[in-house]
Amino acid sequence: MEEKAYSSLLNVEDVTVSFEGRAVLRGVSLQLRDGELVSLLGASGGGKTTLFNVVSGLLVPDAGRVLLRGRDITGATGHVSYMMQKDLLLESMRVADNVGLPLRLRGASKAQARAEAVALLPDFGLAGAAQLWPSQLSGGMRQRAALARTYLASRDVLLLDEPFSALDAFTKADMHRWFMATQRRLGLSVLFVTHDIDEAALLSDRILVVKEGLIAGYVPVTRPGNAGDASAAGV
Amino acid sequence: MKRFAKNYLPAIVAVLAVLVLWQVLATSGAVPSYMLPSPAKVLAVFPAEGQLLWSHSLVTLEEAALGLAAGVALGFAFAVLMDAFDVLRRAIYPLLVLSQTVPVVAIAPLLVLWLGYDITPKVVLVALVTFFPIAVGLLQGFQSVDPDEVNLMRAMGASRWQVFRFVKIPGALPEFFSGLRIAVAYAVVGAVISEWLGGFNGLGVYMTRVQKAFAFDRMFAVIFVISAISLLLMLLVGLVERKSMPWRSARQEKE
Repeated sequence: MEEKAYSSLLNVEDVTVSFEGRAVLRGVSLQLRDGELVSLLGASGGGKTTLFNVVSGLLVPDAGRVLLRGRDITGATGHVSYMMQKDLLLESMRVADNVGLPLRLRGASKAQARAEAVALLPDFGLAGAAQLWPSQLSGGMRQRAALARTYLASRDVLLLDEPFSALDAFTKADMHRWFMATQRRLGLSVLFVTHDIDEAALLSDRILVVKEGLIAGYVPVTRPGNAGDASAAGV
Repeated sequence: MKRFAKNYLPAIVAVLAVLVLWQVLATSGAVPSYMLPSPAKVLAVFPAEGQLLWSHSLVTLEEAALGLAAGVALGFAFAVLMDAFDVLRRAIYPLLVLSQTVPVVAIAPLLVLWLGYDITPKVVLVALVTFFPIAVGLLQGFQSVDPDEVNLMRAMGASRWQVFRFVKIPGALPEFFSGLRIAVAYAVVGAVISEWLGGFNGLGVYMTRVQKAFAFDRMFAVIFVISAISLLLMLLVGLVERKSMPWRSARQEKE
């Protein structure tokens, strides 16, 4: 792979976190390049979610730092966007308002946020769903709405924490197909947590194996369309 | 229409059955008719006394409304503070529960002595009794919010106020309305009780007057009025509840 063809988007450097004397992350470093999808694969309790909490700024690490395009964002929220396993759509808001919420948090008016969200919905397979309430959506639609919201929160880096694990097998397969196409088309840069090896192999450019608070292994992936097509994949 | 019949018909039939039983009991002579006037006799009070009952009702309603407004404002403030500061919740919550063991009828005469015979002691009493269900309901609602939702909002850079406005308030609305429905019933009863103990106008004052005249039919009439008012207010709360949470009815339609 031509390492230099990528600009380095996100750098996690030597992050260490311990809770009550127990080391959860022991000097984790990783890089995410523009348009790349890197999976963090590992069993539950390996520290993946803690790492996400550090990268999103919710948790300040004991040591180490997080850089976004070379800028130190350690412990600062609002720079990268985070999607958890649950879609966490707000039941009290219509789909368009849920998706546009990140813009409102940054000071946009309700109408502005809604307009931008509505324009984005077709990209996420939600054309015509703007006026619905979350409770009226199917499981797959809810995940896509949450992804659209995550995308609006930050187009730079998306942290996805097992976003498809709660879906049934058929919906999951559909979502994988849709997500691969969308990630390429929009050039999304994604850190993706999963404990499903097949899912990691299917979606990722690279897989990092996380074990006991360390990056224990590195697996490059050749996904369909990746070989010789690296530049088209998102740079 | 079918749904209406399914939901409400049993209750309507039950109420009618009670009224019929009462009418039969009262007219059969088993209970002296001056002590237990029949529903028909109670209804016959309204043409003559309707105007008077109406004017007294307005006074009671005013006290109940003012007290309820104060109780809701106070309950809201307490709930927000207790939710925001854990130490306050630990300190105040037991006090709140303790305050509920003091019977209303025991405080009311004190309030009259402290505050006089005008509207003030009534409003204060209503505020005191309505404050509790609102504070407890809202607090429960705030605390029932999924902490992950709060974390997600924070990760998106939301301020404390934005978390409150977009997540906590809408999340607490169902519990708030459950509390409010109890509070409106308390408000009317609280206003009536405080009127018993001293005052110039209101349904409670009317009640003590007709009681002294042994006018059982009028006493029952005023009971009818009080429960009708409470019922209407609770229906009103239900209406406002549905209007303020359109997402809930959307869910029911889907099911």
